[in-house]
Amino acid sequence: MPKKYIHRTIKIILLAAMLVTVLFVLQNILRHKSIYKLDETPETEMWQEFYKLEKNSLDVVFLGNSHVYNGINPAVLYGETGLKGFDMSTSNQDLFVSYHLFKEMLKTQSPSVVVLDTYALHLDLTDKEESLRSTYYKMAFDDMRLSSNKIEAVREWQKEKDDIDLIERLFPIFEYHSRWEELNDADFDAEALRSVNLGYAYSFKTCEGSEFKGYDHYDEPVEPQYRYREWLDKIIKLAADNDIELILVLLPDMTVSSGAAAATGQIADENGLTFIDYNEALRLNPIDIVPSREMRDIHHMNAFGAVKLTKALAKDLTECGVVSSGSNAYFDRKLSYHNKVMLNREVSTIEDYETYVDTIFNNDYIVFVSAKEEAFAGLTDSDKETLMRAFPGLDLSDCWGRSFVGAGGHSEYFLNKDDNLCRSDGRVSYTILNTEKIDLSSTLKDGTGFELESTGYFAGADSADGFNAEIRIAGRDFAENENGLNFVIYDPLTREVIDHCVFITTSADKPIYRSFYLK
Amino acid sequence: MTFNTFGFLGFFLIVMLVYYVLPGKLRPCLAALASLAFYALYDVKLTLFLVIYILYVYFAARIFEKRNSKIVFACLVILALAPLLVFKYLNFSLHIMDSVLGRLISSFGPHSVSLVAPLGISYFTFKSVGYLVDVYKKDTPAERNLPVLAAFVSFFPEMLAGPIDRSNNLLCQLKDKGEKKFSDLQAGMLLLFYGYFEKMCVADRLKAIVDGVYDNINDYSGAVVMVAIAAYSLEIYLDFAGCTHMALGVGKSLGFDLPVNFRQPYLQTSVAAFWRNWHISLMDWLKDYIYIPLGGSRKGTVRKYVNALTVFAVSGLWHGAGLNYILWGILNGLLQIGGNILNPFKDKFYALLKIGKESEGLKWFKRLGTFILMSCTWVFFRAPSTSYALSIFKRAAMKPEINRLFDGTLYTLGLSQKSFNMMLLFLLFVLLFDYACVKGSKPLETILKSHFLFKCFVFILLAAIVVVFGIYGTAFDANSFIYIQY
Repeated sequence: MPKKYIHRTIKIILLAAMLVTVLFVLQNILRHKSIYKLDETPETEMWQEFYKLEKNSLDVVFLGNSHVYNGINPAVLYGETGLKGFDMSTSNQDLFVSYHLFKEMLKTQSPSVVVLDTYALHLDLTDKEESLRSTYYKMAFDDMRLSSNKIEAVREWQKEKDDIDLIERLFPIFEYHSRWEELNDADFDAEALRSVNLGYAYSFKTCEGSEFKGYDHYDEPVEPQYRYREWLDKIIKLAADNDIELILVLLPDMTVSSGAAAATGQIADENGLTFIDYNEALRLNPIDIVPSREMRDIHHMNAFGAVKLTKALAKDLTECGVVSSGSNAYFDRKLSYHNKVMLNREVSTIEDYETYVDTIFNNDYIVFVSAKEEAFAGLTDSDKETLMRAFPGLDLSDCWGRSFVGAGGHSEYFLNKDDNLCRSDGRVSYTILNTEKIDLSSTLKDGTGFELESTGYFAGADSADGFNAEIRIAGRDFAENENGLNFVIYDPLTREVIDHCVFITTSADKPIYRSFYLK
Repeated sequence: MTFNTFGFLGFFLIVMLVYYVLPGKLRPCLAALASLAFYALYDVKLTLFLVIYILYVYFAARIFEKRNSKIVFACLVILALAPLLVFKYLNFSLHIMDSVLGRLISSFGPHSVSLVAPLGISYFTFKSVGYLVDVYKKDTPAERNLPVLAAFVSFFPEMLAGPIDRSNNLLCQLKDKGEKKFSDLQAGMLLLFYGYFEKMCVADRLKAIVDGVYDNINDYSGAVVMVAIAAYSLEIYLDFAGCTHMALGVGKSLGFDLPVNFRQPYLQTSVAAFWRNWHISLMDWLKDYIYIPLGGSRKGTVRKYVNALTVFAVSGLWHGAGLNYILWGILNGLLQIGGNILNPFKDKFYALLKIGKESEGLKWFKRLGTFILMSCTWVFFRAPSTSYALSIFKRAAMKPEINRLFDGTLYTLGLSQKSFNMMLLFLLFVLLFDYACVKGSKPLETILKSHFLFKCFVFILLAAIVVVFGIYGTAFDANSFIYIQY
């Protein structure tokens, strides 16, 4: 081939490579991201995390719909048994989706067990849900990597809906390009804001109801939907071909019929599979799920219910002979993350002043305080010592009627060059206590800006502006702005404010109490 | 399958790869096959019609060579025009006949025939008729190589919205067996993506505003309607120029220089200059095959004006079978004649006020005037009927309500605030680009002469802008090019 043709070919390849790279980066920014807050769905971030997993590191994989990503917490499973699990669950996942997710999983993982939630076997979608089927498929497949498996999945999907565009499905930028209008910080900093943990999506919603009891007998089996039965057979074959034990489960749901469960049990028997029905009284009742505390709605567990359910599942898997292949630093971090998320929730329920201050300062948080009016009038010497313990260098020997702001946490979160910082034992704090109105602003190492404002009795009594307490994080004021000590707690791990409250400390005659906590 | 679909991009990529690999003598065959395949992707039955039409043109030209008779020529040209007249104007003629005779005979009509006009019929018919006239006048020899002629008549980049090519351009290039240049590919891709930018990033945003007002005219009045009228002027320009740049880009990528169709028409300083730079291939065709044969400007002033009016009326009729199109054409003719008559007075007026004819201020004033006049004529073009066009003018002439331009009303017409602002930014870019061209700069050529990495940067930037900011996707109708319908 003449030299000039080689040069031209190289130039074309170079240009194409650069173009593809730019489009890939843009796609990553513009793609729809399904979870940055609690109580949302995990699909897109599930895929991001799945592809980062160490090869062949999983012992067990869970397939299924929202029952799985709300009900089975792999971090809890790891804490209980050492089993390294992952939820490959997507909203309204039917068995066609499960099959293709299973295939995708096999490219990088070789778990000994796959647990399949069989709720979809009797999935009877309403017209509205049926019309949303494409949306569920999009959610499930959009962030799956481009491969023959993905093409095959989209082709199958096109058989159901001929208006599905193959190119848009394979390259989601062509669908989501118009998101440029709604981009926000999260789109550029996906890693930091993610709250999906091993495919599990935390929810702290609750529903009505004081008890949830299982059925104590099975009705006549109800025939599964044909199209799902076909895909279940494919899943069973795929598991068998890859020497994977397939366990069928039916997770707790107040609407599941025992007839559907009986039919699933029959299929399991026919194929020599284990079937665990968590709606059966013998299994469900001992778990003791209280809907008003542990379920987000009549179908799903919340984070507290998921802990109970996962512990029960851990026990059942151990009884089935499923054993861990050893510990793993990544899963250790995931367990810590889980513990932190649960602790965050707990912090918002603490009402005792001393317990609250000790908890937030003894754990990995950044704490902001702003005093309003006579915030120190009600503090005993012991209460003052609690606060001084929390803020190294703070002297409250003469504090009555003064304005006060404080920001403290581990030194790694603050910009060390700041002269206002007081350092002690790895912790640092900003504290200002004086008779004037205080304004303090600075930036954390991760770039999050904060501004604190306080007007104590001396500063505000004769001022036309009166008293004020503001705590602004990234421009938003979280302070309750009540008389007393206003707290805002920021979690640097999840990069969100996990609690904001005020302790009423203005009266020497009354004990300190928390006036507000995040529900 | 229009230029802005993945299907077309895939098709074009395959054609281009094969085209560059094939030896020169086989390229006309591929061009013809690709063009027919492109047509078949629209409609297989109409492809058969196109093949028959190509054969007709091929043999008709050969007949002219042997029998140079005016009667034969007239018959064969009328036959060549017949499909266009039938497919496009039969129902219009029946409608006129119904409305005239229906008044006299109560039981008469209505009559209509169900016909689907073949894609690009106005373009390939005019191209073919031009070729036949050239052969008759012995400006061009009758083409003996059928694949070359087939490629000429049906050349796929020109099938959607022109330009209307000529035998002395494309036909000659199709016979050139020389090596294709890599620089052509680069220039072609740049033109193609600039066309995408004009169409998808700007014209389709303007369309949202125009449709929002035109389709709900009773909800708007004054300034908002004027904005929509101006927006349509820009929309039709960027839609058509975008489509033409895409055609030119596809042609250039394959090594063909297709005729330029636009030269910054809205930066011209008179209606006459506007028409010399708008849809140039059509206006040249009308000039060469209608205006000049009618006598042009050689037979006195009155005849000159009548000829000009005839050309513009035909131009209107070419665009659509409707009275509003004819009215639009005549209106443009009158504006041009009026400008011609007023020219001496204008010159005296400028001299009186001591305004230099070449001053930039005067030029911008004239450009603004031309833009306003043209925008008014486009109302007849966009409105579904003449009466609807008049009602648009009525709404525009109502209380100005200038405040509605700033109270957020513009963001409710079909574009969000961000999208609207982005459109303004893109329009500013197009204006600067066009102004640079008017001033003699050649931005695209400058880019093409630059270092390879800079060219890559420009191309990738353009592609990324089109991908991110373009209006397309599942809900978008890719067939919405205004000039595809003609």
